[in-house]
Amino acid sequence: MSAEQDFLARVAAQLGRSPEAAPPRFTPSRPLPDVGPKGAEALAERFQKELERINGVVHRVSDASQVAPTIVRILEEALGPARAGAAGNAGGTAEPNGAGATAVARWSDPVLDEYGIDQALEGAGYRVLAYRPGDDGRAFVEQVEKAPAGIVACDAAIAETGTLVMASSPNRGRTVSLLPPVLIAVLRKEDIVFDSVRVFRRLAQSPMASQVIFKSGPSRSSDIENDLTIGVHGPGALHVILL
Amino acid sequence: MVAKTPFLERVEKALADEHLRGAVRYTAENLYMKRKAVMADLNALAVKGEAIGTFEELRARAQEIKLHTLAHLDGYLKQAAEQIRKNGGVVHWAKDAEEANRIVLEICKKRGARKLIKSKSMVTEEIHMNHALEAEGLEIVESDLGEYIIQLAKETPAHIVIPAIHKTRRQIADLFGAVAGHELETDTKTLAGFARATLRQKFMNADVGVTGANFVVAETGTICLVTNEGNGRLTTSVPPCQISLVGIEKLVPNLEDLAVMMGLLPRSATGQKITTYFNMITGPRRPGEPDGPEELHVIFLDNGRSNILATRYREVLTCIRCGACLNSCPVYRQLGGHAYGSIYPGPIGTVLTPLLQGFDQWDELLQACSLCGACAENCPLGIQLHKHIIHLRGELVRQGREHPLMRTALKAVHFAWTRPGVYRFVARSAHLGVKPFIRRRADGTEYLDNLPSIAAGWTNSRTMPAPARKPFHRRWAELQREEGAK
Repeated sequence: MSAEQDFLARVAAQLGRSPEAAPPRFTPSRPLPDVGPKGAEALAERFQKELERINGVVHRVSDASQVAPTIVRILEEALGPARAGAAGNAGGTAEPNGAGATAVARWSDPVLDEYGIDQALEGAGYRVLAYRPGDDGRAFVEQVEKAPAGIVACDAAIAETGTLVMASSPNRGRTVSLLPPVLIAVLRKEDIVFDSVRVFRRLAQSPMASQVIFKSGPSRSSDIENDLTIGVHGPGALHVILL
Repeated sequence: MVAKTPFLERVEKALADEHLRGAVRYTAENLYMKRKAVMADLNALAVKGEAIGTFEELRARAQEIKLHTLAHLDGYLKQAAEQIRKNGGVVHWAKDAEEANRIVLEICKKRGARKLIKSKSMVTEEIHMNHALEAEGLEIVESDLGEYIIQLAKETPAHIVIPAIHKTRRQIADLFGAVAGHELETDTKTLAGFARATLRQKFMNADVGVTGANFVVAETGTICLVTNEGNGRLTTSVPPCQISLVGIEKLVPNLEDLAVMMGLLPRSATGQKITTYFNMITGPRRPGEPDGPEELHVIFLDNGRSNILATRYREVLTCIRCGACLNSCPVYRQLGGHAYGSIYPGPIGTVLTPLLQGFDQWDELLQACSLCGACAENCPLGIQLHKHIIHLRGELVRQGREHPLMRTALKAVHFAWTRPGVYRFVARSAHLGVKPFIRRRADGTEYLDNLPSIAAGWTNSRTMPAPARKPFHRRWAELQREEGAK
């Protein structure tokens, strides 16, 4: 504890006083204004426009029953050849849903259960990879690393920047939205707000999750001769199913 | 002949490197123009009621946030530390680079960790962490694509945001090929794909993930990382232990303040409205969670920062390392980052480096500035970098550190300019005095060239008007006489 006291005393001394027990409450000269359109449809349109500008793909569906078929369609478009290739490399076609089937990772959050995603995926020949309480975390991460796609939900979205907001929890593994090359996120229209101020204010209402991310479009880099490349470390494709 | 100092040698080397200069010019101009466009957008949106403020308004608010935090830095550090501990993290305090590196080594030793992976962080460059860890036999791998390239090339960053701007794809393919053990194509997709696959394995096998921090929120003890590639998220999601090294100036009071800071940082750095990832970490993995580090260490680093608090340069500590001052600086655009020799190049490096590390190695850096003020204009915190450079130059003179010839020359000027008789004599004879160096242009105007000694630095790359044959005070007197005669 004394290293801390020494350190803080030194900082305080440079400020010309003795250490503070606690900082004062910061009251900015003006509150941040409420800005942007309010209607859910206006926010959804703006979100879509902004996300498309940064290489994200938005699939709008009108009811919950379309979520699962849309996911299957996205997977088949994105992984079609990869799936066949994987089976070929393994030296033969394993029976669907068996160990040889392509495993797609998803959050085990009940929010996703209501869309019937598992049945649809299994029906299409995929295996579903979800973390259950008591499972070995490291083994899960290693499997997620091999999965060609991850399926998640969103806590909120920011229309101004086309941003998805996701908080981690036991049901919401961090790596599901990170390691697979294709990320599919289900977003409900009513969860879209205009700007980040509203998200930060909401986050301040309750204890922070261990990790909260703002994700805007697929992973990108311009480190090689200023040439834009997508999917360096994180997912190279981002699909948002907007419900 | 004036002996060349290491700084001047670096400058000469940089100026002779056409490829480096072309790459720096292109990158700086590209980022500068993107920033300009996105700020114009922001201002237009703010007018329409679709942004929380114009650039000027966000800047004023950001200054308010950061200056308030600095004025109560001890209190905010205490609050942040208490929150981090409450979240299950461990807090360490490092007065200097040596202490910080020792703490990292101790954490690794305790865990039996040998392999570290790092997301892009300037503060770990500042304390030469890689060097300190490698000396103890640990492996530390940079995971930002640009930093990885630089690490393989055993070089230092040429730009704080895009470190490997000076590397061609051919050079990158050679560096990666040496790791792969076979030749690689030079297209971006192949190279980025190779880096993804190689670094992914490093991530999966790493014992510790090392990060810096863009912001730390005191009210929640939250560490914030801003990245585009996702390496910051990988570093904080896959390895079993996370170490975040945080300069004490990185604090902000509340979560809401992030809306202001994030409104400015990506726009200023890369001209993006937002980066791909903005990652907020509050404590280690919670019970029942499948991933994330089981252990989280936060090291608060002083390393000269608290000394700045007591000086007129305090606002320099509000810097958020966006690089906008580099991109707008006419000197940086000519030289790139290497010539500065410091970890932080460009206008911010010119001010920050001597403040953090003293004048001894860095006094000449202060001459790498034309005082144009473009840096301050573009700075999202409005730091008056050019004014600080003038004051620091003044301190150099007060400490007797200016070039001896410059001192003699200025003393001579002072002597002459404070004595009207001497002044008139000098003005009358100046033309004669420099006659051997006067050249005449086709249009009859005259200029000075090939001046000797320290003046050579000026005429090597510029021309200077020759002193008039008839000085102004004489012409003025003549004119007045003519007017009177009329």
